Amino acid sequence: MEIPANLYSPKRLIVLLLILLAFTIPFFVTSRFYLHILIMCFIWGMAATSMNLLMGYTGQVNLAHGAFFGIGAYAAGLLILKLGVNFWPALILACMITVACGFFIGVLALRTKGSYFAIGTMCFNVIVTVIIDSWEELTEGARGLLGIPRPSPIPLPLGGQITFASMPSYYYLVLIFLLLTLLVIYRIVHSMMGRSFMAIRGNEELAESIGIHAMRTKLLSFLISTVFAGLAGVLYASYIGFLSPEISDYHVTFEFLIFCMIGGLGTLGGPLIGAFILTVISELLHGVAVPRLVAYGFLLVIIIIFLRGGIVGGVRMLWMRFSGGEGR
Amino acid sequence: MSLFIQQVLNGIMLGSVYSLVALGLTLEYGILHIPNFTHGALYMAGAYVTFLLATSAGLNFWLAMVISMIALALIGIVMERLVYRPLMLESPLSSFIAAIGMIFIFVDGALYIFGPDFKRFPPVHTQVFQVLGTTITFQRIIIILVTVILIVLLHLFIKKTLVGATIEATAQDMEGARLMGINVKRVRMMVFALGTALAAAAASLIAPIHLVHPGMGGPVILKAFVIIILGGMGSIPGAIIGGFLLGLVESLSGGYISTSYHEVFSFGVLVTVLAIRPTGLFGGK
Amino acid sequence: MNQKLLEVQGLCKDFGGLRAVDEVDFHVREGEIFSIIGPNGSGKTTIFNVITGFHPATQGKIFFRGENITNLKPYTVAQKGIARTFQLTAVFSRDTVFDNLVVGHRLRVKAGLLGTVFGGRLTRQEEGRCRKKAEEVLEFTELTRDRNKIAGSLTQEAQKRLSIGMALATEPKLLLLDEPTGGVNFKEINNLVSLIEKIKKGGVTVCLIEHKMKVAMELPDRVMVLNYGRKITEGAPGEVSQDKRVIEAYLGKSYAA
Repeated sequence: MEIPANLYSPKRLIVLLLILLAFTIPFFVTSRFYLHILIMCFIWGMAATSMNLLMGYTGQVNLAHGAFFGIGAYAAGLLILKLGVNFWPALILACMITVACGFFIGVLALRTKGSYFAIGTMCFNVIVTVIIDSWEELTEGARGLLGIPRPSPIPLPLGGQITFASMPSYYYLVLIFLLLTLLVIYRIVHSMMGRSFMAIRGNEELAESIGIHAMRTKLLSFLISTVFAGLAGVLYASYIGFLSPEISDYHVTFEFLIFCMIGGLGTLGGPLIGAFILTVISELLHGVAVPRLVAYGFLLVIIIIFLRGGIVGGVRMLWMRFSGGEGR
Repeated sequence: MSLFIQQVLNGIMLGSVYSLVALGLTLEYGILHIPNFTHGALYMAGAYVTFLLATSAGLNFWLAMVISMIALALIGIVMERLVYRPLMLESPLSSFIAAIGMIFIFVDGALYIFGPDFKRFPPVHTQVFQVLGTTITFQRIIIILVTVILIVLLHLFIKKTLVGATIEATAQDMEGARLMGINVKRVRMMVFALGTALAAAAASLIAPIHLVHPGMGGPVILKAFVIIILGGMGSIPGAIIGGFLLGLVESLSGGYISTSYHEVFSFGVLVTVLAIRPTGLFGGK
Repeated sequence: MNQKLLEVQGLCKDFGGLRAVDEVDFHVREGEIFSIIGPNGSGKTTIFNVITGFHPATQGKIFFRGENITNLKPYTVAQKGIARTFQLTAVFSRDTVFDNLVVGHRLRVKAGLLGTVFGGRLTRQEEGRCRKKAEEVLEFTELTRDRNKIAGSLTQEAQKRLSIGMALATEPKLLLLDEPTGGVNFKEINNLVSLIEKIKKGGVTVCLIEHKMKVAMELPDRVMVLNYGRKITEGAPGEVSQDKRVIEAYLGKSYAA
């Protein structure tokens, strides 16, 4: 449990600096390649952070997360392309659709626990992918959905408008949504609601005996995590402009899982850090002969065995060793 | 009518393969108490080893399959020792993640070494029968026969030998078994060896028909999970019955309804069952 | 005041073919300490589990403050004002003592999504109440010194106090304690006994399952004895300890004569 840090603690300062840095990056990094990497890091980071709410903080291993990412992406893409809906309302609608699916799947899946829940949600993930792939009249199936436009310009009060065709502008868009996601999840984690989630993670029976409605609490956590997965999906759709059923595949879910584990489950910054490191590594290794996933695989196994709390966990341990512990 | 018989036979054949895979998985679950997600990747590896031996080394198919089973058994032992053992006391999530890591290593390794194309190798027996107006290949019958032989051997091993008894004991109560002087570490290794060998056998048997490619383990492992959940995680009869049932359902629904949605059916069944009985059909916990 | 706070009528609980609880009737009066004793396997913990909704009753009814609470879910039962501890001490072992107690009060606040995300005043007030309650309980259970320790690192006795504290944080009217002195040594028993007496003085009714005769007989106002799932007798500790049937249940026929 993270004790709320006081206002001027080093942790807060670092976070503030990082946010400032993030905002100023487009001014000195103009290469499209690097901006692209950062944008992808942000999108994956959003998805991983929201997965962490359910998995790291509420202790439920949800393997359907990729499906919700895909549902959000496809919902937005289809609304924009086939129904001619403007990007912004489409974004909201797509998130609502994702939550609706999340509700349906969650209510069924959360009746199970532990390994059964993991496998059940994985099956849902596969079902969703198969449906997207096979329902060609709706989703264009394996041909993919092409030509999803960038967000429509936002008119400014004094004339002129913000457009999103350029890389830096999309960078800021995604950055803002990422910060929004982080803020919401931060608030939740540091609240009584967050404590309920963690109580369920700790010992579900005990939590019930002190009056916590397990099913409702788990479902809430599930739904919140799906909203942001869907949101990340929408941003992905509009950025890449092209969707195929693979983006809802269980491989995607596994990648999110890895980001969380490597960065540190149950920590706020962990999934983001995991997303960053792995996305950067994977992009940089793109042309290299060594198969990327094999490297991932080894990295994963080694980190799991030797560095249990992920990177953030490791850093915390080091910090405690050097500062002589903080009463904990 | 002949379509029906074809589908039934096909279903039993598929079911045989699923049973073997599910058996290995359920044995491992009985000891590990967590599902071994890497099982599918090992299945795939078994197929490739058999493929290599049968084509490049020109060995007899059955010999290749046996060697593949042994090789995979060894790999299973190494995996248990190096990865699952250190994670024994951690939360199940860690083992699960490690399993995913290993899946990446195997699948992508196979992709890199062999390429993504489907490899074929000539079926062992090409004779064809005519039964009740339908054409049946001998190959398919062989698969069913071999599966039955393996299942019977496994049954005899577990029920009639001392070693088999130690496996049952450890699966029921690891602490108790340890206190009785059973070397639990060795039992774990053995179960892994057994489970992986079964997967290799299943893959080798189906390979001539369904071809070999790096992603072949994915759908199979998911179905194996459906099976062991329906049949009860850790239950051997459950794995066998569930395997054949699933094979039949898949084949019949695929033949009569639609092939693209047949996976949805299997998973749909699973999801429905879990919604009604969250611990599976025969599950106890 | 001496109304029946908890009333159990004709309670039966079967596990497959085994009848763990067989037609048990009893009631607990407001403000008293009531204890349930009996040899191992006599169904004591099962009764607690059924009352608090962890197992459904096979037959019978349970009334709390006049309301039928039979087969309600555990979190609803806790909401109604019955809190419990477990025989196998249950705390959130990875969290601090303070955090354990704060979450204990969660059921009395709303903690809605909008309030949480936008940091409304009401939400902050409610969180403040939980923290305040946690402080009170810390002091009451004498765990103030250990407030920042990780629950899993406490001694068995301190963990027992913590689990009682968590139950108290839910502001119950009735507290069910399942072997509160289990695994605790002689010196520490007195600490726990005085804690339970403090709880009674504070107006919370206590029902406890106990094995240690000293605690089971000296502490409560009334005692009920179970054997093989059936109630053998009930009454003041003095009467019960003399009852032949009780002696027979514990020590065998030869001692009862």
